[in-house]
Amino acid sequence: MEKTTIPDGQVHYELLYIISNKFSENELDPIKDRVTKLITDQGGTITLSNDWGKKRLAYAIKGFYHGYYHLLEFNLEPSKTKFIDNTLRLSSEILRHQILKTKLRTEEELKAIETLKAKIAEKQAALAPVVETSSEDKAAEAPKAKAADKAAETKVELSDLDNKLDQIIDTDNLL
Amino acid sequence: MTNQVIKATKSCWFCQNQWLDIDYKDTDSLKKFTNFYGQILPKRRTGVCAGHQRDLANAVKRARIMALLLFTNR
Ligand SMILES: [Zn+2]
Repeated sequence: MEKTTIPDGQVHYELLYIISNKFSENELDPIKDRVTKLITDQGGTITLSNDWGKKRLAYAIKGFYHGYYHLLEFNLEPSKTKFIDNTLRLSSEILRHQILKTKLRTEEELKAIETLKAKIAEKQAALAPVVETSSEDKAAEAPKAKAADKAAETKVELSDLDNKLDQIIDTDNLL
Repeated sequence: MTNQVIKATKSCWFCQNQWLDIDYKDTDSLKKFTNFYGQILPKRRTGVCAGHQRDLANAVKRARIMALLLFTNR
């Protein structure tokens, strides 16, 4: 219970930021340490630190198509967020960041959310094959299986294409 | 980009599943409520209630800022 309470005069925030792709994975730790130190220096306490790793951005930011996402949750006095916001905006290593007020979730609530998501995933998984099998006749199984194989092949090709495109984009960035 | 189209239902998807709140980082569930071009679908098509539609729109916009979702698909 002690962990789930916020100190008086403080608010629970979450910060998500993207570190530029020009750094390799070994160079990330000092940058992350600097950001966490920035918060703790202002009197904040970090309650959660979650690395998302390298992700493809939905659109290019300053010419980069990839970035390292890092999520932090912390308690801080509201008047001090502006300073953190400004310093993050001025730092060249961070492509983008967002500080938001959030509810502090208890472990029970987090578990409830996870079970809900699992249930929904199960439902969707259960729904998809039912439609396929009901529409299939025994005589038409063989040609349909072939068609499914073909579909799978094209899917694989598409994913390969995506990977190749990613590689091309990466190499373009390095030039 | 495989957007699963949600059929028009009379009840809200978030109310039905007793969703606690809409997280902008949960892009998989947000994507269901955007079309191929990244636009937010109207609530007359998805059946989302007014309150949840407002939260959903905010979440999608926040996800766009952090490059988790597209502003527009060209
Ligand atoms: Zn609702």
